[in-house]
Amino acid sequence: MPHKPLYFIYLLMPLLVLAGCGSKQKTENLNELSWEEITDRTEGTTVSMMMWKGDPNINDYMQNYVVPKLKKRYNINLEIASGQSNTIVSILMSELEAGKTDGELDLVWINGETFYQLRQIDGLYGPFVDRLPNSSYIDFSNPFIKYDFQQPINGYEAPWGNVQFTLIYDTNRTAHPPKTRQELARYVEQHPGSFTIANDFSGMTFLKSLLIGMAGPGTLDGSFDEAAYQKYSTQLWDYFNRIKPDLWKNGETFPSNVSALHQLFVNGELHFTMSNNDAEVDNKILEGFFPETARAYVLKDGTIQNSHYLGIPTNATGKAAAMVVSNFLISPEAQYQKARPDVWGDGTVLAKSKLPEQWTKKFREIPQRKYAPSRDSLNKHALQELAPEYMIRLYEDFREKIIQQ
Amino acid sequence: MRISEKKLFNSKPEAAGILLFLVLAVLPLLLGIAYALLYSLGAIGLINEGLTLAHWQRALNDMEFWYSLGYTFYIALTTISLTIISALSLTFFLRKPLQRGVPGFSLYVPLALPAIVVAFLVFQLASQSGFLARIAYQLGWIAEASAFPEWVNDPYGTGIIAAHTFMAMPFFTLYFINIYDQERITEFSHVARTLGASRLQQIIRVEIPILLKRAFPTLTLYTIFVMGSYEIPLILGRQSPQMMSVLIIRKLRKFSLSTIPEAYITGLVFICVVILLLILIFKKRTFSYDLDH
Amino acid sequence: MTSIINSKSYIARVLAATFLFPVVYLLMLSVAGSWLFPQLLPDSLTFQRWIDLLTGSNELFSSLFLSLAIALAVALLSTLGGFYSSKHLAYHPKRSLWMRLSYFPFILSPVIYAALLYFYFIRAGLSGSAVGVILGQLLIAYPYSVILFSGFWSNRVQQMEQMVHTLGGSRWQTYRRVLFPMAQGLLLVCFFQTFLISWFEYGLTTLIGVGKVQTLTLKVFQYINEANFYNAALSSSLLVLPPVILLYFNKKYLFKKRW
Repeated sequence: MPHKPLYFIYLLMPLLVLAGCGSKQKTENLNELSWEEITDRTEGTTVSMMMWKGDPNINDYMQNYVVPKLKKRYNINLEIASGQSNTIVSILMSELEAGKTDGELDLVWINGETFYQLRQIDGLYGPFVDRLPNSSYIDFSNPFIKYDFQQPINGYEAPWGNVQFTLIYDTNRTAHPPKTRQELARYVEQHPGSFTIANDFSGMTFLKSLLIGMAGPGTLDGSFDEAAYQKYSTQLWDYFNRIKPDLWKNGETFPSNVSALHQLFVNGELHFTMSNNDAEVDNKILEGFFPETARAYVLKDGTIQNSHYLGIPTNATGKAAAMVVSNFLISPEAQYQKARPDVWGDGTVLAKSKLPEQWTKKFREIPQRKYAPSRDSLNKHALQELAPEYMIRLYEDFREKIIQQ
Repeated sequence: MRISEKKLFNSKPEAAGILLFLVLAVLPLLLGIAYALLYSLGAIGLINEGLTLAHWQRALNDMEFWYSLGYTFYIALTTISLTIISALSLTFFLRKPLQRGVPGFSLYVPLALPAIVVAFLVFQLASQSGFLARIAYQLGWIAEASAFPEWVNDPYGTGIIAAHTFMAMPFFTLYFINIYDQERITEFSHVARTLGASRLQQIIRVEIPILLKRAFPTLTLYTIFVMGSYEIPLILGRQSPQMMSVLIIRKLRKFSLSTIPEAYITGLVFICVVILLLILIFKKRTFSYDLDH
Repeated sequence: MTSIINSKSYIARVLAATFLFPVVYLLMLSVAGSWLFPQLLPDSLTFQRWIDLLTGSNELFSSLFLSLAIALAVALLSTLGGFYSSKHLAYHPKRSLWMRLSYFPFILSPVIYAALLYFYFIRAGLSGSAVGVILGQLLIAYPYSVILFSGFWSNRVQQMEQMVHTLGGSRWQTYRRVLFPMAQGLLLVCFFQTFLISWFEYGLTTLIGVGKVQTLTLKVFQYINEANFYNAALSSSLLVLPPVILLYFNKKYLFKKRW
């Protein structure tokens, strides 16, 4: 055993070498391959997906339905990492800064503001949506799907689900929920500590609905308008600062995410929770988490309806496999499963008119939700998303003008 | 660094041992500081536009940064003070019963808990709908959850301090008991007694100074550790002010990419604070290998 | 006098209960069917989560093994590497400088350290991989190991080494027959301490691992985030039980100057 002591240096060397030569597949021009070739070539590969994992039902759908199906049908291993949209942007940005061409993420769950940020740093691969066979079923006539935060998606992200924001209350505690922001302010004043918003996308979406309500429908459509934002956001912060002393914990802090908000609602600390997903109240009741007396509703001025999407990073190593996964996720069967209120209750992005007969029937017979208003009645109060800068500014200003005050 | 010079290393094995140390312990730190510095000065980064001091100006003019710094000190110093007081009390009054049986075992249990689990537990026990609130409710002390005092996500960092103290107090109790037995403190006390000191005087004049003097480096290191903690303030803290580690990660991972340099600046300031504190303890005590023990 | 002693041991027992209660609470929460405010106790118990886990149908199962593998690698590499380095650092004329330098990386907040080094990890192709996480944790555990062994080396040990050398023993024999046996207790302590540094790590792991290397601590955090407290308790129990069991066999492994 000569030179044993140097052994430790040698021990570390392979770590570096091993890491250097990650056996990632070479990127080839996917456009030249037929779909069959793509599915053939991706057999046995692994796709790293990053998504918000803040909801047990969503995680369950992914882990116990999508993952095994993909494995069985396409022999693709889907590995899911937890990361919100800002984490996704920051990871891709760091990778691009370091000049990494074989990125860690193959597929990301995004919408509006993330789409915008990633497009700005050229972080998204595309256009790829047309390549997915199942994209022919997608309801691109629906502006809520075709435009993501006022931006045409141009094939750089595949629509995955469509939802509308709702407020959730307990009929046992609140007989007449406030229907306008003025009524809400009164309610909060009369029931101090019973209302708050989460400092995440759900809370910001609520604020955005209020902002649109203040500006009037259509006023803020189109690209970001600084003057209009200043004008109406000032109104919004005035309004919010007025009700702030009567918010939960006197508005000095906010739950960091919507799951925490749900928990406070269930424990009785809050009279309201909220969700970006109109069917969430149903799946949380079926799960036994929300009381059966919980109901979802929307304000008279309306709430945001939006879609969420799947994107493929430019430096993804498994672009082809990520496309196969995306194609499965927008397949009628995966969309059907996802739309069931007892699974996730996420609205489908497929157009019923374009689907094969058997699927149209199945979608029609999907177990109806009981505790949220019907989709048609919600549609009447649906507001379009605003340009992404509004969301980014709201996040910033919410911290500066509300949290830090 | 004159690594290859023969004067510095006597033999190949020695060179290997020290090189390993330089590569794993010294080099990464230097690289990290260099990267953060360059980024904060606008020399590198996707969104940077050339050398500038603007990021430093912005970062140091940001009140949030100073609140965070103050808050970090506040949490660490409060934790360490509470820990010293409680651990000393236990050492003086319960030393014997805490050295045997179930109590002797139980003191070690908090050492077997990771910070993230302690944070989770404190949240479960002390939140307004937590276990303690339920006891209060069942006893009729409160009528609803919101009537229970705020102990987590509260302005004073009660939950954060409680979690850290829960982890530190048993450790320092064991540590003090160890020193107590090693340093023959009873003998010193005995001398003091023959000179007419009361038991209280013995404790205050003789035993506490010896213990604290011996424990000073460890106490300082623990303070630095609390200052850099992440999981506990992440779970039990509120959105403002935040401890420095939480602030750094938030600024790194924001929608607006413009705060990344500020995150690195905050990190550099934190490192400076750590270096200053370490220099303080290095001055107080010779930190070196003692080959003659 | 006896009443003072009695009341002291009574207080000690109350204290013991305070320290033990969290573990009991975790276990209880991990088998609770539903346990909401204002219930003092769960309204039903279910062992389904544990059964799922033990039969491998829970995703925690793979995390458990991943954590174990990473922690074993970190413990082994940092204990041996630290032992080897500390010997040469101790006998080196600049020993005092080395000693001081070893405190910086060890005491620096791992998550901040990781944030500063993330760029290099990406560059080296190490982000998002278990190997990267192992290397990242080594950057904390190895300096600790160097510090821990600093007290072992002395003129006496050096003289013994020289004696073996004079008697014709090879360097490897010196390690095997003299140094390892002499340092046996300390080596074990170091192994367990560095194991725990890795086993307990969250911030650095989530950054360097890009959230893809899902160790148990990441699972705990994920469950806390989705307000799934029962699973959070289950994964917490998995994190806590090994050290507690170890504690039962030997207390000193857990205590020896972690700071």
